[in-house]
Amino acid sequence: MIVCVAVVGHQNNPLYIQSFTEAEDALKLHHIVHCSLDVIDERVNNPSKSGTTLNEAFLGLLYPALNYKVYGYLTNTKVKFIMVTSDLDVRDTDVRSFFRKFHAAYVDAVSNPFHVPGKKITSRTFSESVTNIVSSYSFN
Amino acid sequence: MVREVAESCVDTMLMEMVAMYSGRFYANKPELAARRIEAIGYQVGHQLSERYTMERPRFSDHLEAIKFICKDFWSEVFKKQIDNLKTNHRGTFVLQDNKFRWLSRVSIDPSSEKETEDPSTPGESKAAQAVSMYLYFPCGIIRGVLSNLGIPCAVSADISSLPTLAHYDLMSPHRLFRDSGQGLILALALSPPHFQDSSSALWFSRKIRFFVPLRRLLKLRLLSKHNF
Repeated sequence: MIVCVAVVGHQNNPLYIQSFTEAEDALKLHHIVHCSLDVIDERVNNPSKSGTTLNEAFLGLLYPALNYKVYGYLTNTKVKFIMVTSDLDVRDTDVRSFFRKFHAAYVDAVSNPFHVPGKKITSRTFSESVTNIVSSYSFN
Repeated sequence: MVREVAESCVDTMLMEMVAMYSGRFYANKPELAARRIEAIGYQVGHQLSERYTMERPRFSDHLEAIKFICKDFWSEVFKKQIDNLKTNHRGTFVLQDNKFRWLSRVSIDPSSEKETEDPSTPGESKAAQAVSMYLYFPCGIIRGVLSNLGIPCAVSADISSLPTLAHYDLMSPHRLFRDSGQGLILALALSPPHFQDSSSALWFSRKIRFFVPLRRLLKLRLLSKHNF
């Protein structure tokens, strides 16, 4: 189950962050997302070490936390998508297709002429479509 | 999902935007109108770049991003590719489109073009200025795309051939629209990362001025071709 998704702008400013757990652990999840930004920076600046080349948008597993796995995705416009899942047995192809849908939803949201670039995404349609995408992926 | 819009709508919108900003809102301040139109283009480019780069791997350097502009982006927006790309390998790129779609239906009142034997007459420069108002929007789009891709830059455009309506009017009127194709030269100056904001602006302006002779050259060639 996906417990948290986040969109982070090119200056590491949060554009959208949403957790999907009942428990009061939003702060912990935000902390995980925050830490993963460093991992993304490292991946992007030293592409030879990480092994993933070809400048693909999907960055793969960023790091495994205790009970979570954190995946990242970096677009051409330097916007980062981060996803935290509590499933420990996840296939990469599923995550890829999740991010693709997530990215499409993001593009639709920022194409709104009333959206101010670089500001938080407040669109209700966006959060609805993200909730739909998240609930359609359970990875098990 | 691909949504398309009729070309006439885009043409009308561009016409109206220029008319509103340069004729009504900022009637006495063409500089300000140009900046506002460019800003609109910037936002459009910013948003278009999100969509058009969606399925692509990340660009590793500036040249790749420029190539993307020339090929994919240009054909998405203007339905053709750039005809010529030149660079000095130091951050300046010149893109040339021999038939720029958004200007292909622009023509100039023949009465104002009567005295075009000399390129320095006020009639011609006025015409050039009028047409150049229509170029701030596409310039803004390109700047918006590149900025969103992480490449701060300055973009300026130049028309390589002014509308030749008067010329064709004399010979064969039916060729008016088909042949009054507009060439466009787009100069991009990318700011190297080590430049600070104020100094890079100066650097841009110097770079861009470098293109002026190029335009003169093309115009002269064009005139000599037509004055047979």
